[in-house]
Amino acid sequence: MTVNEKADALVKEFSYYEDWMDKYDYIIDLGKSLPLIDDEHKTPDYLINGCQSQVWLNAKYDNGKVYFTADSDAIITKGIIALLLKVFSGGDPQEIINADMSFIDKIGLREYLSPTRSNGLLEMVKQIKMYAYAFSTKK
Amino acid sequence: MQYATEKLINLGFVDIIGQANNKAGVLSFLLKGIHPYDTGVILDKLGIAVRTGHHCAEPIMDFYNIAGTVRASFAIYNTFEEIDTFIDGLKRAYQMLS
Repeated sequence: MTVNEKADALVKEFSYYEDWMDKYDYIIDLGKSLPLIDDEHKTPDYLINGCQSQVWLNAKYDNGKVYFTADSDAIITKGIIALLLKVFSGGDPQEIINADMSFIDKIGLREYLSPTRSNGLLEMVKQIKMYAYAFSTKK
Repeated sequence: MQYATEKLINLGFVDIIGQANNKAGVLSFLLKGIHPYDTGVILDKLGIAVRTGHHCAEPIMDFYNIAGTVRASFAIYNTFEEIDTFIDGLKRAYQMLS
Protein backbone atom coordinates (compact mmCIF):
# COMPACT_ATOMS: atom_id res chain seq x y z
CA MET A 1 0.00 0.00 0.00
CA THR A 2 1.20 3.51 -0.72
CA VAL A 3 1.24 6.19 1.97
CA ASN A 4 -1.92 7.81 0.58
CA GLU A 5 -3.72 4.45 0.41
CA LYS A 6 -2.84 3.81 4.05
CA ALA A 7 -4.17 7.26 4.96
CA ASP A 8 -7.46 6.51 3.16
CA ALA A 9 -7.74 3.18 4.96
CA LEU A 10 -7.29 4.95 8.27
CA VAL A 11 -9.99 7.53 7.46
CA LYS A 12 -12.33 4.65 6.62
CA GLU A 13 -11.47 2.87 9.85
CA PHE A 14 -12.23 6.01 11.85
CA SER A 15 -15.56 6.55 10.10
CA TYR A 16 -16.88 3.46 11.93
CA TYR A 17 -16.48 5.24 15.26
CA GLU A 18 -19.22 7.78 15.88
CA ASP A 19 -18.54 8.50 19.52
CA TRP A 20 -15.44 10.50 20.54
CA MET A 21 -14.92 7.99 23.40
CA ASP A 22 -14.53 5.16 20.89
CA LYS A 23 -12.07 7.23 18.87
CA TYR A 24 -10.03 7.92 21.99
CA ASP A 25 -10.11 4.25 22.98
CA TYR A 26 -8.81 3.38 19.52
CA ILE A 27 -6.04 5.99 19.75
CA ILE A 28 -5.05 4.79 23.25
CA ASP A 29 -4.90 1.17 22.06
CA LEU A 30 -2.77 2.20 19.10
CA GLY A 31 -0.42 3.98 21.49
CA LYS A 32 0.00 0.79 23.49
CA SER A 33 0.94 -1.14 20.35
CA LEU A 34 3.49 1.39 19.11
CA PRO A 35 6.89 -0.02 18.12
CA LEU A 36 8.93 1.60 20.83
CA ILE A 37 12.04 3.64 20.28
CA ASP A 38 15.30 2.18 21.66
CA ASP A 39 16.39 3.63 24.98
CA GLU A 40 19.58 4.93 23.37
CA HIS A 41 17.45 7.17 21.16
CA LYS A 42 15.31 8.43 24.01
CA THR A 43 17.51 11.49 24.40
CA PRO A 44 16.95 15.24 23.94
CA ASP A 45 18.38 14.92 20.39
CA TYR A 46 15.34 12.92 19.33
CA LEU A 47 12.75 15.01 21.15
CA ILE A 48 10.23 16.84 19.00
CA ASN A 49 10.05 20.54 19.80
CA GLY A 50 6.70 22.12 20.42
CA CYS A 51 5.02 19.20 22.14
CA GLN A 52 3.77 19.74 25.69
CA SER A 53 4.37 16.15 26.54
CA GLN A 54 7.64 14.56 25.54
CA VAL A 55 7.78 12.80 22.18
CA TRP A 56 10.82 11.03 20.79
CA LEU A 57 11.05 10.10 17.13
CA ASN A 58 13.69 8.15 15.25
CA ALA A 59 13.85 6.92 11.66
CA LYS A 60 15.79 4.27 9.78
CA TYR A 61 16.31 4.06 6.05
CA ASP A 62 16.27 0.53 4.74
CA ASN A 63 15.98 -0.67 1.15
CA GLY A 64 14.43 2.55 -0.12
CA LYS A 65 11.85 2.80 2.68
CA VAL A 66 11.70 4.88 5.84
CA TYR A 67 10.84 3.14 9.12
CA PHE A 68 9.94 5.16 12.19
CA THR A 69 9.95 4.37 15.90
CA ALA A 70 8.66 6.71 18.59
CA ASP A 71 7.64 7.03 22.20
CA SER A 72 5.94 9.51 24.51
CA ASP A 73 5.39 9.86 28.23
CA ALA A 74 1.66 10.51 27.65
CA ILE A 75 -0.48 7.71 26.26
CA ILE A 76 -2.83 9.80 24.10
CA THR A 77 0.15 11.57 22.53
CA LYS A 78 1.68 8.17 21.94
CA GLY A 79 -1.52 7.10 20.21
CA ILE A 80 -1.44 10.13 17.95
CA ILE A 81 2.13 9.53 16.87
CA ALA A 82 1.29 5.84 16.41
CA LEU A 83 -1.51 6.93 14.10
CA LEU A 84 0.91 8.98 12.00
CA LEU A 85 3.46 6.16 11.90
CA LYS A 86 0.76 3.74 10.77
CA VAL A 87 0.44 5.90 7.68
CA PHE A 88 4.05 6.93 7.11
CA SER A 89 6.27 4.11 8.38
CA GLY A 90 7.46 1.88 5.54
CA GLY A 91 6.77 4.50 2.90
CA ASP A 92 9.34 5.70 0.44
CA PRO A 93 10.75 9.17 1.08
CA GLN A 94 9.15 10.88 -1.91
CA GLU A 95 5.74 9.46 -1.03
CA ILE A 96 6.06 10.74 2.52
CA ILE A 97 7.12 14.20 1.40
CA ASN A 98 4.25 14.49 -1.10
CA ALA A 99 1.62 12.79 1.08
CA ASP A 100 -1.88 14.25 1.08
CA MET A 101 -2.30 15.47 4.66
CA SER A 102 -6.06 15.98 4.48
CA PHE A 103 -6.54 12.66 6.28
CA ILE A 104 -5.84 14.39 9.60
CA ASP A 105 -8.87 16.65 9.18
CA LYS A 106 -10.97 13.86 7.69
CA ILE A 107 -10.40 11.78 10.80
CA GLY A 108 -11.47 14.79 12.82
CA LEU A 109 -8.29 14.55 14.83
CA ARG A 110 -7.68 18.27 15.10
CA GLU A 111 -11.05 19.07 16.62
CA TYR A 112 -10.47 16.46 19.30
CA LEU A 113 -7.22 18.06 20.35
CA SER A 114 -6.51 21.14 22.41
CA PRO A 115 -4.67 23.93 20.50
CA THR A 116 -1.33 23.05 22.12
CA ARG A 117 -1.72 19.41 21.17
CA SER A 118 -2.78 20.38 17.68
CA ASN A 119 0.47 22.34 17.33
CA GLY A 120 2.36 19.32 18.61
CA LEU A 121 0.72 17.23 15.92
CA LEU A 122 1.96 19.61 13.23
CA GLU A 123 5.47 19.41 14.69
CA MET A 124 5.33 15.61 14.52
CA VAL A 125 4.31 15.75 10.85
CA LYS A 126 7.06 18.26 10.15
CA GLN A 127 9.67 16.03 11.78
CA ILE A 128 8.46 12.94 9.88
CA LYS A 129 8.72 14.84 6.59
CA MET A 130 12.16 16.18 7.55
CA TYR A 131 13.46 12.64 8.02
CA ALA A 132 11.97 11.62 4.67
CA TYR A 133 13.55 14.64 3.02
CA ALA A 134 16.94 13.86 4.54
CA PHE A 135 16.76 10.26 3.31
CA SER A 136 15.59 11.31 -0.17
CA THR A 137 18.83 13.21 -0.69
CA LYS A 138 20.81 10.09 0.21
CA LYS A 139 19.53 8.12 -2.78
CA MET B 1 -12.62 20.55 49.96
CA GLN B 2 -12.88 18.01 52.73
CA TYR B 3 -15.58 16.10 50.86
CA ALA B 4 -13.57 16.11 47.60
CA THR B 5 -10.31 15.15 49.33
CA GLU B 6 -11.91 12.18 51.06
CA LYS B 7 -13.56 11.06 47.83
CA LEU B 8 -10.26 11.33 45.95
CA ILE B 9 -8.37 9.30 48.55
CA ASN B 10 -11.09 6.66 48.57
CA LEU B 11 -10.68 6.11 44.82
CA GLY B 12 -7.42 4.31 45.62
CA PHE B 13 -5.68 5.24 42.36
CA VAL B 14 -5.00 8.90 43.11
CA ASP B 15 -1.91 10.54 44.61
CA ILE B 16 -2.67 13.96 46.09
CA ILE B 17 0.27 16.35 45.76
CA GLY B 18 0.29 18.72 48.73
CA GLN B 19 -1.73 17.97 51.83
CA ALA B 20 -1.19 20.93 54.15
CA ASN B 21 -3.82 21.44 56.84
CA ASN B 22 -4.66 24.99 55.84
CA LYS B 23 -4.47 25.04 52.09
CA ALA B 24 -6.46 27.07 49.58
CA GLY B 25 -9.34 25.61 47.59
CA VAL B 26 -7.20 23.70 45.13
CA LEU B 27 -6.59 19.99 44.79
CA SER B 28 -3.44 18.97 42.94
CA PHE B 29 -3.19 15.29 42.15
CA LEU B 30 -2.11 12.54 39.76
CA LEU B 31 -3.81 9.34 38.69
CA LYS B 32 -1.27 6.59 39.38
CA GLY B 33 0.91 5.90 36.34
CA ILE B 34 -0.96 8.33 34.09
CA HIS B 35 0.33 11.54 32.51
CA PRO B 36 -1.57 14.64 33.73
CA TYR B 37 -2.34 15.77 30.15
CA ASP B 38 -4.06 12.50 29.38
CA THR B 39 -6.26 12.85 32.45
CA GLY B 40 -6.99 16.47 31.51
CA VAL B 41 -8.07 15.60 27.97
CA ILE B 42 -10.55 12.96 29.06
CA LEU B 43 -12.01 15.18 31.83
CA ASP B 44 -12.32 18.00 29.31
CA LYS B 45 -14.28 15.75 26.95
CA LEU B 46 -16.58 14.92 29.86
CA GLY B 47 -17.22 18.62 30.46
CA ILE B 48 -15.08 18.89 33.58
CA ALA B 49 -12.64 21.82 33.65
CA VAL B 50 -9.28 21.27 35.36
CA ARG B 51 -5.83 22.66 34.80
CA THR B 52 -2.89 20.42 33.93
CA GLY B 53 0.85 20.88 33.73
CA HIS B 54 3.45 22.36 36.04
CA HIS B 55 1.37 25.49 36.83
CA CYS B 56 4.41 27.76 36.36
CA ALA B 57 6.06 26.00 39.32
CA GLU B 58 8.82 23.91 37.72
CA PRO B 59 11.12 23.84 40.79
CA ILE B 60 8.53 22.15 42.98
CA MET B 61 7.65 19.71 40.16
CA ASP B 62 11.36 18.83 40.02
CA PHE B 63 11.31 18.42 43.79
CA TYR B 64 8.50 15.87 43.54
CA ASN B 65 10.11 14.45 40.38
CA ILE B 66 6.90 14.68 38.33
CA ALA B 67 6.05 16.14 34.91
CA GLY B 68 3.11 18.10 36.30
CA THR B 69 -0.18 17.59 38.07
CA VAL B 70 -3.89 17.77 37.44
CA ARG B 71 -5.43 20.57 39.47
CA ALA B 72 -9.05 21.08 40.36
CA SER B 73 -9.92 24.47 41.83
CA PHE B 74 -13.04 24.93 43.90
CA ALA B 75 -15.04 28.10 44.37
CA ILE B 76 -17.93 29.14 46.54
CA TYR B 77 -20.48 28.18 43.89
CA ASN B 78 -19.33 24.58 43.39
CA THR B 79 -21.74 21.94 44.66
CA PHE B 80 -21.35 18.46 46.15
CA GLU B 81 -23.09 17.13 43.09
CA GLU B 82 -20.36 18.62 40.89
CA ILE B 83 -17.72 16.91 43.00
CA ASP B 84 -19.53 13.61 42.43
CA THR B 85 -19.51 14.27 38.67
CA PHE B 86 -15.79 15.03 38.89
CA ILE B 87 -15.11 11.79 40.79
CA ASP B 88 -17.12 9.78 38.23
CA GLY B 89 -15.10 11.48 35.47
CA LEU B 90 -11.86 10.42 37.14
CA LYS B 91 -13.07 6.83 37.36
CA ARG B 92 -13.85 6.87 33.67
CA ALA B 93 -10.53 8.49 32.76
CA TYR B 94 -8.58 5.97 34.84
CA GLN B 95 -10.45 3.09 33.27
CA MET B 96 -9.67 4.39 29.76
CA LEU B 97 -6.05 5.30 30.33
CA SER B 98 -4.70 2.58 32.60
